[in-house]
Amino acid sequence: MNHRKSNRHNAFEKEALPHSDLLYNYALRMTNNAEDARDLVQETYLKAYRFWDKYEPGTNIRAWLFRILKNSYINRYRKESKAPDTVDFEGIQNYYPSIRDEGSDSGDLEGSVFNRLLEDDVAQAIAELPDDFRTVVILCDIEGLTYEEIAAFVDCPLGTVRSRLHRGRKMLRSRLLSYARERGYVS
Amino acid sequence: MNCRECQELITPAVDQCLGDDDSKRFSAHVKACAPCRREYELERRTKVLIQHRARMIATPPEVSEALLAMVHREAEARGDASEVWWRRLVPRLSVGPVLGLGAAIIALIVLWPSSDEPPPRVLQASLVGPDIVRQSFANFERVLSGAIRPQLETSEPERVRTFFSGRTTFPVLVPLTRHCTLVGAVYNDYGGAPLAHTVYRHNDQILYVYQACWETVQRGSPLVLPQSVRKVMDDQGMYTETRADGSTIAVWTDGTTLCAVVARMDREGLLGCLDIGGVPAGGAR
Repeated sequence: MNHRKSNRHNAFEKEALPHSDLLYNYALRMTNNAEDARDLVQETYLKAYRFWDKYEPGTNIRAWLFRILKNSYINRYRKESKAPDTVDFEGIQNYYPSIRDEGSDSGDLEGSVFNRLLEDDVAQAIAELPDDFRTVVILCDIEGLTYEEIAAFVDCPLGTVRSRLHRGRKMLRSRLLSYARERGYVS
Repeated sequence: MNCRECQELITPAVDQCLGDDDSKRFSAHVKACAPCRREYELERRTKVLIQHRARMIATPPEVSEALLAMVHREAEARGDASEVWWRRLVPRLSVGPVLGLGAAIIALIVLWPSSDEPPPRVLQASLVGPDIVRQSFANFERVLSGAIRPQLETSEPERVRTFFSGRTTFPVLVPLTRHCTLVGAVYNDYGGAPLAHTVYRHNDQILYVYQACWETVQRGSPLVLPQSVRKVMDDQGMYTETRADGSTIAVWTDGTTLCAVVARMDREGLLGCLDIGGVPAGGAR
């Protein structure tokens, strides 16, 4: 019998399918819609199966699957532009002056303010982040990946992962503060 | 360390991935510098908030099931699953009805080599979560696709008895007797709960039987039976469900054994194959 062919199916089930949580969670956070997330993950696995020959055993399967997912996401939702997101936040030199401005915010260090924010608020704030920043925040803070793994996933240097995380969290914090203000948790 | 250097280390400090040296220098600086300390604390709190309020969302079981089914369909379409082990046991649909049963018997005798089979694969029930109904449907599809292969290939209940002996904490039953032939068995455990899987054929159909310890299922961990299913079992003695693809499941208990059987049949066809209260095939009483 033709073992090579059936082994393809077996190997794919064993090696690729167990990573569906990582892909589904990311897809859900990116699309904010369970049906879209399901479609995206299905499309990813279908493509992965068809191109299984291109996967080199022993290399990072999670990164390989993630890239397929990311490309599918871009093709579906960002066809209009593959350019990097919005403003260039990469320059680490911008950080220092910016924090001095933020220092004038009152109340943002109060744990009680953050504690009153709900899951929906945080999900909404994450959803509003530009894609590149949202991606690293999801991968690091929700999925618990290391900088090295995130760099392999998004195919960029470690320094870029770090700076996107810093900016992403800062943008998120800013949005959460404005929600808190809207709700009267902080003046 | 000056403030500019410190700013570059805030994010890795929050993620606790600074080297020893940097970590010491960073700590010393933020201890002495209020603006940097504040910036570090803000980012740290933001990360904690995300972790507490935006938890990882696992793949819903129905999505996992759909993924398995989709991969199986694709494998079949590509011919990757063309050598499914059980196909050698059942008459092909193209074979005439006169030849059907004879072909099956001949196939069983002639085309059942075990020497060139790949090693048996362990089930990955965890892909669809702890719900027994979902696990049963998913495992059935995986038997059909060839992803689940028998660890024991036999048509003799006696050999199944020996195979499961000492492995399960419940008696493994042989519930299908009417025109059904045993073809194989697989043992595994799910989160420490032993499971017995047996596969039968009935003419050109495959029947998959899932068995677990009823007490474990009643405890609700690590295996789960939805309340709605339990209620129907309590009221009617058996739960049945037919899905859109034509697969039917029947779930019932017999003493300390929980049994679920799945086949691509309607309810009447499946129940027609069952012999509830059948002869225990093995396991501890």
